[in-house]
Amino acid sequence: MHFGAGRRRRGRALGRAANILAAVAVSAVLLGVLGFGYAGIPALGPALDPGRGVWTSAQGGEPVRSQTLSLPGLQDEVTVTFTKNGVASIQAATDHDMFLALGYVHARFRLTEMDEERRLAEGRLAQLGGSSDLASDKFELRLGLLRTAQAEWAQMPRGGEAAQALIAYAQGVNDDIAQVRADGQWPATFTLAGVYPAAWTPVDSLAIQGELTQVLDLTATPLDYALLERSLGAARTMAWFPVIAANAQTPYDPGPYRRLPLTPLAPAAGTTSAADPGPDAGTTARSAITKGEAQAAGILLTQLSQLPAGQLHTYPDSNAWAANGPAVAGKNGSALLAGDPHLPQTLPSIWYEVAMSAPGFDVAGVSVPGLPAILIGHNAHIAWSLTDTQNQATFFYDERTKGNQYYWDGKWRPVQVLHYDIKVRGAAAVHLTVDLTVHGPIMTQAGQTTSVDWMGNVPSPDLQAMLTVDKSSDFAQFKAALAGWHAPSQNFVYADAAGNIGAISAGYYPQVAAACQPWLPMPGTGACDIKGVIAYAAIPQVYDPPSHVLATANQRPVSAAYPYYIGTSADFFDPGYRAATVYAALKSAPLTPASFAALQTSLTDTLAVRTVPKLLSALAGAHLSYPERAVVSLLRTWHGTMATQSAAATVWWTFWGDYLIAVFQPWWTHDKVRTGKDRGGLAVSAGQFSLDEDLEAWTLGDPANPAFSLPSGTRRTAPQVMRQALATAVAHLEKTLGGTPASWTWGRLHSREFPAVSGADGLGYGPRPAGGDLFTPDAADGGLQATAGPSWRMIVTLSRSGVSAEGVYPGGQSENPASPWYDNLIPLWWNGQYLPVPVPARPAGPLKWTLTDHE
Amino acid sequence: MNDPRRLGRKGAYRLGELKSAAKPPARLRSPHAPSFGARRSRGSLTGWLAMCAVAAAALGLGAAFGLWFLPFVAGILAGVAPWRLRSALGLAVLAVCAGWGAALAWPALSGAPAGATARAVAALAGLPPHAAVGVAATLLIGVLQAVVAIWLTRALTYRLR
Repeated sequence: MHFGAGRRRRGRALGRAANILAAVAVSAVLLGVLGFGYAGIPALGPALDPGRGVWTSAQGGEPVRSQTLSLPGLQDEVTVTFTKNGVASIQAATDHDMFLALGYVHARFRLTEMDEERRLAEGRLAQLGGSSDLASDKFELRLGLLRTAQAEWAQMPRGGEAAQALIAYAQGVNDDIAQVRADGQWPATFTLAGVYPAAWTPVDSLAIQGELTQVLDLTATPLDYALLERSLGAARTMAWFPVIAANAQTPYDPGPYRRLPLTPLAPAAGTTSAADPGPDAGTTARSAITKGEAQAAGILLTQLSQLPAGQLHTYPDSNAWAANGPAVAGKNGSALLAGDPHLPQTLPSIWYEVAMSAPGFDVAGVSVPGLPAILIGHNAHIAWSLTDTQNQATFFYDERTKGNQYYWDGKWRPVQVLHYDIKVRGAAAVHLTVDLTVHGPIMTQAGQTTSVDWMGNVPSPDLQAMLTVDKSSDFAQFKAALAGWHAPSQNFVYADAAGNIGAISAGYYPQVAAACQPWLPMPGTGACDIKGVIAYAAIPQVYDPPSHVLATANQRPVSAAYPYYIGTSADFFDPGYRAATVYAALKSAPLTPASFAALQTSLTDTLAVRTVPKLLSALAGAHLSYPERAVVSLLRTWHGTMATQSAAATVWWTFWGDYLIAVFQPWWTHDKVRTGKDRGGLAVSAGQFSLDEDLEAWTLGDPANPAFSLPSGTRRTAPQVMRQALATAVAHLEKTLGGTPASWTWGRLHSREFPAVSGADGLGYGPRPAGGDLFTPDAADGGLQATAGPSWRMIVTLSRSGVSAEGVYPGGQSENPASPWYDNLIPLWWNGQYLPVPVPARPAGPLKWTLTDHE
Repeated sequence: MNDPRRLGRKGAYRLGELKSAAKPPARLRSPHAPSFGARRSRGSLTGWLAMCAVAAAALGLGAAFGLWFLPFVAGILAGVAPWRLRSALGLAVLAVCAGWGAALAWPALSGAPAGATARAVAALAGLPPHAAVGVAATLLIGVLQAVVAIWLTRALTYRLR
C-alpha cells in the first residue's frame, strides 16, 4: 500500500510537470507564431488585430468623398474629380503636378497591384509571397527586366520630359505610401504578409514597363520549334508550321514595300558588347536539332511554365480599326476609331481610366498603374489604340562554352557573372548567379548552354515616345514620336479630327543572316547574331488607305511579298479570322459608333463560316445516326455566331477540336512529340494557329493533302476525316452534356471568368456562361473557361468640332474588394454598354479632391 | 460528511459508493487549518460580469493600439483569479468576443465596409470567402490566446490553489 501511494504521488507529480511543460511550450509556440509568423504562416497576431491589423483596409474601401488632401511636392493646387463610377479626371497647372497627381491617384487605388507588379518584374515577389514565387523571381532576375530598367534610367536625360514625369510620378506614389504608413491603413495583402512597400522609384516604373513588354513580346516559340523538329523532322515541321501561313489573310499594309538598309541595334542591358562579329564568326549552317538542344529546350520550357499565368506571350491580343471619309456617316464626324486590347481579364484590371490636363497636355483614356502616361486614348486632335504586332522578338542561341568562357567571333571570352540574393518570406535568402554572354543571359546549361536575346532587354525610350504621342496633333508628329518605340512591337492605329486615319507597327524587327533559321535556337558563335533592325521607314504602315478603312487584329500586318523576315505562323500572328470579320463589317457603310460597338461585341467565328459548308457537304449522303442528323440540322441554319444559347456553336467548336486531333494526333503520337513540355505550344489544339490555318486551307482547297493520311500509310481525305471527327464530337457531347443536341448550348460548355490577381477565391468574378471563342472579335482566350479577352473597349468619334470617346473595361477603378468601385464596371462591359470617357480639363463629376502642398 | 456547508451540493453524499466515509477534500485535510481563517471566495456573479466588462473594454481599447496579445494577458489574469475553471474560461472567451467584436464593429458603425472587408480577409487568408469566416478567424486568434494563457496559469499555480 505504501509503495502504491508513492507511485501515485510520483505519477501525479510527473503529470503536473508534464502539464506545466506542455502549457509553457504551447504558449511559447502560440505567441511566437502569432507574433513573428513561422515559415509561410504570417504573423497573425498583428495581422488580424481588430484595431490596427488587416481590418483597417476597410477605410480604403469607403466611398470617395470630396475633400482637401495635402501632398508634399506639389507646385500648385491640383483638382481631381470623379464620375460616380470612379473614373478620374486630373486638372493641374503644370506637367509636374499632373504626373505627381497621377502617381498619387494610381497608388491610392492600386498600391497592391503596383507593388506586386514591380516585385514581379524585379524578382522580389518571394519576399511578399514566399517560396512559391521563387521560381518566378529566379526567372525574372535571369532574364533581366531589372537590369534593363536600371539601364534605361541611367541613359535617360534627367532634364527630359520622361525623366521629369517619372520623378514627379514617384513623388505622388510616395506621398500616398507616406499617408498610408501614417494612418496604418495598409491594403490587406501587406498587413497579412507583414511586408510593406518600399518607396517608389523611377526604376520601378520602368520595370513595370518591362514586365508589360514581357507579357506582350517574350515567346518560347524557337524552343517549341526545336522540340517539334526533333520529333516530327524538319520538313514536316516547316510544312505544318510554315513561316507564311497557309490560309488567306488580310494584311492591313498590302504594300508596295520598301527595302532599306538595316538600322543598328543597341546592346542589350547588362551585356558586354554587341559589336558586329567579324569574319571569325563561324558558319550559319546548322545540323539537325541535337538531343542536348532538345533537352535544353525542354528544361527552359519547364522554367517558363512555372511563371505566373500570363507572364509569357502565348496568344494574340486585340482589335483596333479606323474608318474615315465616305465610310463614316456624315453626322458622326470625320473619322471613327475603335480599340479593344485583349489581355488577361483580372480584378483589379491592368487598366486605370483617367483624363489628365495641364498646359499643352490634354489626354484621356487608359493608363497602366505604375506608368505616367496614357497608353490608349485620345487628346483634342487625335485618337489611337494598340494591338500586338506579334513579330519575333525572342531569339535563342546555342553557346559553345569551356569553363567560365564562351566562344564568340573566333575567340574565347569570359562569361560575365552577376550575383543576386533573393529574399524569401518565411525562409532564408536564396543566392542566384546569372551568366551573361554577348547575346544576353544564359537561361540554362543543361544539355546545351542556351542564351536568349530578347528585344525587351534592349533599353529603349518607349515612355518618351508614349508621352509625345499623348501630345501629338497630327500623323506626322504621331509617326515621329513612335520612331522611339522599340518593344513590344505594337500596331498603333490612328485617327484624327481632320478625318485622317493610319497605322504603323512601331518596334524593333531584328534581322539575322538569310541563311540562319531564327525560328530555331541558332549558333552562338556570331554568324547568326542580329545584324540590325528594319529601318523605321520600311516597317509596316499605312496612311489614309483608299478603302477608307483599316483593321488590325494581330494578323500578319504585311503580305508574303514583304521583303523581310518578321516571324513565322507560330509566332502568334492571328489566323486572320477576327480581321476578316472586321473587314467584312467595315464594308457596311455608313459606319457609326453603334455599328463599331456591335462589331466589338461580335461573336462571329469566320473559321466556322468558311468551313461549316464543307462539313455539311462532307456529310451529305452519309449514313448518320439520329443525333448526327439533328446536329446537321442545327448547323444548316447556323451563321457562325458563338452565342451563349447556340447549340450549333457547341457542335462546331467540339467538331473543330476533334477534327484537328483526327488529322494531326496520329502524327504526334507516331513521332512522340513531347507535348508535356509546353501544352500551349506543342499539343494539338485550336490554340495552335499554324494548325488551324493548315487545316482550313487544306479543307477548302486541298482535301487530299498527305497530312490527312495516317502515318501507317492508310490514305484518307478531308471529307472522310470530317465525318469521323463529327461522329467523335457528337459522341463526346452526348456523354458530357446528355439530352438532345438542341440542348447543347454553348454556355453550358463555355464560360468567362475574371480571377483576382491575388489568386484568392471569391474575390474574382464568375465564371459565367459566355459566348465567343478564340476567333471571334469579342475574343475569349484561355480555354473553355476563358480568362482573357477584351480588357478595354473604346470608340472615338473625331471631327473638326471635337473629339469624344466612350469606353469601358471589365473591372473597377479600385483594387479594394470592399470598395463600391471594385467590380462595378463589369455589368456594363458584360452587356456591351459604354460610358463616356471624361473630357480632359473638365470636371468628371461632382466628387472632388483638392490636392495642395499646404497642411 | 464533515462539512455541513456542502450539504445539498453535488457529490456531498457520494451516493453509490460502498465506502464508509468519503475522502475529505485535500485543502481540508490538515487538522491544523485554523477555523477562523478567511474563506476563499469564488466571487459573485455581479463581480464576474463587472470583470468581464472591464476586460472587454481593455481588450477593445488595446486592439486600437495594436496590442494584439492582450487576450493572453487577460487569460493570465483570469487564470489566477479564484474562480472555477469554467468561470475563468467563460470570462476570457466572453471578454475577447465582446472586446474584439466591438473593435471589429466600430468601423462598420462609422460607415466603413466592414462586411466586405471581412470577406476579403477570409479570401486572402485562403479561407472560404465569407464575412463570418473572417470575423470568426479573428476572434479565434483572441480566444485561443486567452484559453492557452488560462491553461498555462493554472498549470503553474496548481499548488497555490
